Amino acid sequence: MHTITQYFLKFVAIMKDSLQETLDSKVLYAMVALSGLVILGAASIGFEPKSPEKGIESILRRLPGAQGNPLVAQEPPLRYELQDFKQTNENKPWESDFHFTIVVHEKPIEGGGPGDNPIAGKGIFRFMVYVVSATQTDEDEMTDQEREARERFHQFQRDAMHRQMDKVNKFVQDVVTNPNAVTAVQMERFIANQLAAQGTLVTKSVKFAPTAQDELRFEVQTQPRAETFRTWPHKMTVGFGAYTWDQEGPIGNEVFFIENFIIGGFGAGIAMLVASVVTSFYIPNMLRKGTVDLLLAKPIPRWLLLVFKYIGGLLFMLLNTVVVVVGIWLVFGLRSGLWGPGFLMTIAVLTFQFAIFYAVSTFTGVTTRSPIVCILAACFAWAVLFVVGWGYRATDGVRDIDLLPKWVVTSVDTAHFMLPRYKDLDVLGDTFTAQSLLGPDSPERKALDKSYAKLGWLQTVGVTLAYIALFLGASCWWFASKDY
Amino acid sequence: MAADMHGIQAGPLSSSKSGTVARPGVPVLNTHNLIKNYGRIEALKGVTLTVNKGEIFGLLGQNGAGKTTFIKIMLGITKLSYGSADLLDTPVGHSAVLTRVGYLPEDHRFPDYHTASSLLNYYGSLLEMTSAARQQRIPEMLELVGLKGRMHYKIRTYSKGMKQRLGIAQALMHDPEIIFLDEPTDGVDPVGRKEIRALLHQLKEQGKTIFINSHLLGEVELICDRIVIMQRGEIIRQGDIATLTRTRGYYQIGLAPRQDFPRDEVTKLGCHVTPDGDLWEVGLTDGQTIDPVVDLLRARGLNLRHLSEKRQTLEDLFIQTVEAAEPGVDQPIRRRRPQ
Repeated sequence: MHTITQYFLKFVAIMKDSLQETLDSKVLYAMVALSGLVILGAASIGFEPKSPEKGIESILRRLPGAQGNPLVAQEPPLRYELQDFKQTNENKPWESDFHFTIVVHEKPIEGGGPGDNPIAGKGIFRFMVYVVSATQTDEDEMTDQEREARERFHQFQRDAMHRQMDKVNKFVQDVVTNPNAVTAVQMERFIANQLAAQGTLVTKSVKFAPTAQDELRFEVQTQPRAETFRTWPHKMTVGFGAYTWDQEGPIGNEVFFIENFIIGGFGAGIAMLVASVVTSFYIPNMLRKGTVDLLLAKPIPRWLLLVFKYIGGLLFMLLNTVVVVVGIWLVFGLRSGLWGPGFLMTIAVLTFQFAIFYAVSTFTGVTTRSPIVCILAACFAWAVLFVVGWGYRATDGVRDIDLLPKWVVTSVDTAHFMLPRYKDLDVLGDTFTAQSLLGPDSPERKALDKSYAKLGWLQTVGVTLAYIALFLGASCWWFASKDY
Repeated sequence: MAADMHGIQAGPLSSSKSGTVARPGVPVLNTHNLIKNYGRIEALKGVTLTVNKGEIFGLLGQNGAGKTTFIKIMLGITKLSYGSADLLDTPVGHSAVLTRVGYLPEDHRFPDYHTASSLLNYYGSLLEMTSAARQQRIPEMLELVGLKGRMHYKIRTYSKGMKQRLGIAQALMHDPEIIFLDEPTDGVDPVGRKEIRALLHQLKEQGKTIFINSHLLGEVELICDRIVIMQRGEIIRQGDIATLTRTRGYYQIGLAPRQDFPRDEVTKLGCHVTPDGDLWEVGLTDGQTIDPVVDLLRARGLNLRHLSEKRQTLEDLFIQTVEAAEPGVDQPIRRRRPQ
């Protein structure tokens, strides 16, 4: 037989052996049963679209300033009232043209501003427009005035952090009381941008048309986009309609939340932990006295034997992930009508992430032959990469405003650069999922796209692969050079 | 358990892969000045050894003598420190030769999530057997060792003797040319041991070379053609069993019933005479032959019913040899460089 064919057959034999070992432990059955329950739970979730008028009202409730803080029972500072609503064709809500008026009501807040400065009544909307325009407008769409506004806002954030209240109060007063701080054009653009962001609606026209002094009234005409369905508000039910969720959000965000945070975050964490525990026995079991002799007396190079065993461990994670992710993807596609193929990339991302920890576990396995030490090593690696990943994300978020001491930023940057990019891979998975579920202009999508654009994928994947190769290479060297 | 009590049968052992018959005298295993150091411990101290094709070869020694280390070096499981070793004309460490080698380790531990059948299938795949060959050989081998009825049971349900039989089956599975058996009868009952002996003789007839490590000297004596005794990493005695166990100058003589042995007259010939049950043991002095004693008995009209040169058991030889060498086997020895 050809050498490659022989090695392939040996690879298949070792995969089958790993599968038998896994099946024997019964954990895979438990995982599949658990996955089945999760999929059943997902299948019980239903989505019901809001009517056109209710849908637009729901979109307006998501505009900046329209959401209070439920934790402190704080009412929102702004309310966007829908008036004169007209649906100008008879399509489905997310395929319809609308004509309506938005009236913005400002709620006086006593002492609600920074440094107990009252942003009472008039000016909150203007302040909101100023801040959002300065922080959420794309760089290439910014005017010089907006760039200056952005820099002033960053300075305001720094002053607030350093409790320089005089400067903070002055900034707020300047923006709130200065009628020229925000123009009508900026306000119109704000409305158009927010309808695009929260509702994926194209604004054909928006006109600032106050009928009384200080009234904030906008006449708007919109038309849908192909992706409007993703952001169309839906009511969510759980338990096959037994329980109705209070919140009514864009269907894409609801599916994204479940797929990305519950399955891709919490669920993946559990799967990763279980896989680490189960696979931690593979290498030490193989290296037991009396077992390893039998394998080493077979015509297969030791390094290849170990690599095949490593791939066997990865298969465990892959199988688990395929069952859960494909199952969830199918039931959500069928239940919501929203097929987001990007979620399937989670399979590759999670398996790649697990490959890092399993390489560490493999190295620990060949050097100590102890499953317990393997589990501890994998968990330690996970904790380190998790903390560094979050640390990097946190420092990166405030990099523009120089909030943290330089040595902290440098230390976190260095650790992030040197170590496998576990959290960056998360961003990759999140971005793929978001691209097929969230509205193209939604703030969540823009934030993810921004993170995604900052990361060098070649470097991220390259450094991570290099670490896997390093640990696996060291394991192979150790295994190949040791007497048994 | 039935499978444990009655097992190994004369069965379908194929001829060697090359199709040749036994050609005694052709070396299949060669070592020259083989040295193995574990840190400061010298496990093998210049072992030079040749095993020929078709032999059943026994390696004896106390615990820690270096027997298992020697086998592991031959199989590439452990690396040699100095010297050279060839197996089937290939320097040790080349994994390709292992398709022609069978191995039953001491204290083996099979993955107990396998059944006998799936284990042999797994090992057969690693040994580059084709699927068809595996499908044919697995039931044959398991029938040979008396495990066919339990071939689909998990190994964790097997007794020690059954696992040992399975070990022999996996060592023979791919029809190897040379088979290393480290304590092959360990845990096997007397009936099973007898069956293993018969199997090994059958393999020898087919031209297989068998290399055995064993503490059961009675077994080795019955099975092996040639042995080596190792002590503290060195060969201290080697040769064929018949030669080694012969006790030169001692004879056992038996006369017809109711005839008296002329002890005094034989003693006067210069022999040392002692009773040995119904027989008499006659020890000759250097250069003397047994002929004068036989002539004397005939001259006295006595009927000679038994005359044989006395042999010692392998156990006697082993103990005598080992005790003559330095006692203590596990003490660290300062490593020395090869000359």
